[in-house]
Amino acid sequence: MIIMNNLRERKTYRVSVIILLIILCFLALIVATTFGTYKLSFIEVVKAIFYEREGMNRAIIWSIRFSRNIVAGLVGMCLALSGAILQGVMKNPLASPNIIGVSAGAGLAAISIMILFPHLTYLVTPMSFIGALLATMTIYILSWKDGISPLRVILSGIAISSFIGAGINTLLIFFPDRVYGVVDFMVGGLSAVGFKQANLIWPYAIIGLISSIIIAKKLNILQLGDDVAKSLGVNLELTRFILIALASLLAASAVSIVGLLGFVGLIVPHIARMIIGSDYRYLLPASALLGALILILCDTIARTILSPIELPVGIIMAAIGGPFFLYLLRNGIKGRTN
Amino acid sequence: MKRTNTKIITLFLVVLTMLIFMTGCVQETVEATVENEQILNEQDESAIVKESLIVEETDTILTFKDVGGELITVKKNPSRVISLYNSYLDSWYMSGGEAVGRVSGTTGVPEEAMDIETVGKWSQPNIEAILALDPDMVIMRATISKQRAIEDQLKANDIDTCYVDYTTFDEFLQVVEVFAHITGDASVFEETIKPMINNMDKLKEKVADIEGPEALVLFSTSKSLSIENEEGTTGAIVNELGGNNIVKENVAEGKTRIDFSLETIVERNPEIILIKTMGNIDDCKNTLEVNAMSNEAWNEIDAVKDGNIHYLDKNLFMYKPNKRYFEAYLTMAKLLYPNENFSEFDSEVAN
Repeated sequence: MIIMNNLRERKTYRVSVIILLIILCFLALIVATTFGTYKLSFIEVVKAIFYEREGMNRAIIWSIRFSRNIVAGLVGMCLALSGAILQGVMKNPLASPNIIGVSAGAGLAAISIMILFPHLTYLVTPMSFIGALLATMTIYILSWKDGISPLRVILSGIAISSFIGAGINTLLIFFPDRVYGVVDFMVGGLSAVGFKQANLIWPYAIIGLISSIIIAKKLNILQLGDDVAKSLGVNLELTRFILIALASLLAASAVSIVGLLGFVGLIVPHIARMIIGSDYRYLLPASALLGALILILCDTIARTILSPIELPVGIIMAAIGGPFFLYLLRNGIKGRTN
Repeated sequence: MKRTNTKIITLFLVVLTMLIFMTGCVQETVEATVENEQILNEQDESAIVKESLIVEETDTILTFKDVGGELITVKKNPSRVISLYNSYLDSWYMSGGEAVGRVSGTTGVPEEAMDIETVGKWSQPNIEAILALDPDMVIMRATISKQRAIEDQLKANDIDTCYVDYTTFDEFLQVVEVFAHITGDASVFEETIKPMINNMDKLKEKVADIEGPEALVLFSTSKSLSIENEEGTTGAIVNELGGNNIVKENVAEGKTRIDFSLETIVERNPEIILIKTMGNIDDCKNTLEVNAMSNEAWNEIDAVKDGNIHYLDKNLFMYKPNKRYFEAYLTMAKLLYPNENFSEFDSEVAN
């Protein structure tokens, strides 16, 4: 009876946290759309979104600020989900989109185009997406030996990322006069993104969210160990392949739009785990919402702190997120993790 | 007969004395004229170069300040010079210098220096290749860390390091003055700089009473909106010609390109957009329209509504124009004031 009450209490807490995160995401979207370089009252912002169809207020609030916040939310969601899935499937707290070669693959593809074929830079987004997926597939194939072990995936990932990194560094050294723009991509930022980019990424975010609801139970089973998972009828290889493919798809879609924004995929799932525990049925949606929330808020700071000059959001993420994560590690919500 | 001889000798001596005196006078006059010319040249230079970098000069040594205020001392009239930045090699040749080595690439390289030895890339100079050419001075760009890194090795081999850096026209003149004093050839001021400045003054005078447009100088990258403020080469030309560069903000001294808020660009509403590109203009146009300028908010800007968007010639606005500075100014004047007739200046453009 006591156990049942505890479980019910824990479930209520987790559902409450998710509802709270949804509310916070909406609040963050409102706050982020209200504040910017161009000063407008809240009423003017509401008018610009719901009533006006043209004019400067509409252009700034709707086409620039609101659309950018939507992209920030979707990117945060995709990266955090990707990181949470990878940490689960690899059973490694250091797993992130970087480890499966997403960043390296996308980086090499994007930087090659920017440096070697600057006249084709409109291909940066699709090619970095393809590069990310190719790198992930290479790592997956190289780590296959009578099946996939998480350790081999991580080690292959480190080796391939290092190899690709050598290619990136060679390009940067041989073409230093063309690196402008490359730095922006490597730091990661949301400058000049809008509805066009939102249209590119929202299908992946929706697919990721729906899939995470479906696969959450299997991720929970994987945490019990391979033998238990097998005994419960889980096809280990197929499940791992699907999970890694999903994670790489999510991360590749985000990276191709904002650049190598690595911090979200690593830290946000840990923060979510500290708040809501390790049950993937709650952890995945919580990570997605927290990723969206953090990226919207950090991007708001990035575009307003030195206004009208903008900072790449990657810098703000690292500057605020790092110490905050350390604070949570030392003083986090005790007793809520299992 | 004896008296006649004495008279002749006396006359000869008088004539000789007069000749010596006159020669002395003429020589003194010539020296005075040369001195006057030197003074004149120095006066001209000081009128042209607003804030000279030169701190001290002797017959053999020149000491000047680099961009960071550090004092640089070099021996004058070096015979074997290497330039690690091709745009500065061009300025060096303009100032009467010659070189035995340069870095790879052809942009900015003067015709006479095309076939000299190369010593690596400007970002990665090869110290062995430099030492193999046995130079007595190396021209370097003060802000490139890889060039700074070889300074100790150069100095250990008794090679002078001549650090320079310039972005604007006034800074270019400062560097040309330094170079001219090192080579000992001031003719660049008379032959190139003075006509250039005269033409620029006439050009500025012509547009002085016309209200210049609000201008945005955009640097084309695939991902971010990079803007050049009024301290950059192009931004400064816009302002000098009476235009108003809408971006005056900066993050640090000397940083001319910044990531800027699209909101603020729409709010400040430029009448003309000038785009600097590194590659083919048609390709860059396509890239910019697909990526950075894809947001529909651009359509609210007057420059976009009027189609007043111009892609700038990289040789004049991306790289150092050096002797083509006036051409850069004239090109910009034509873009800023399309209704004005500048044909009287076309013949002044350097080939």
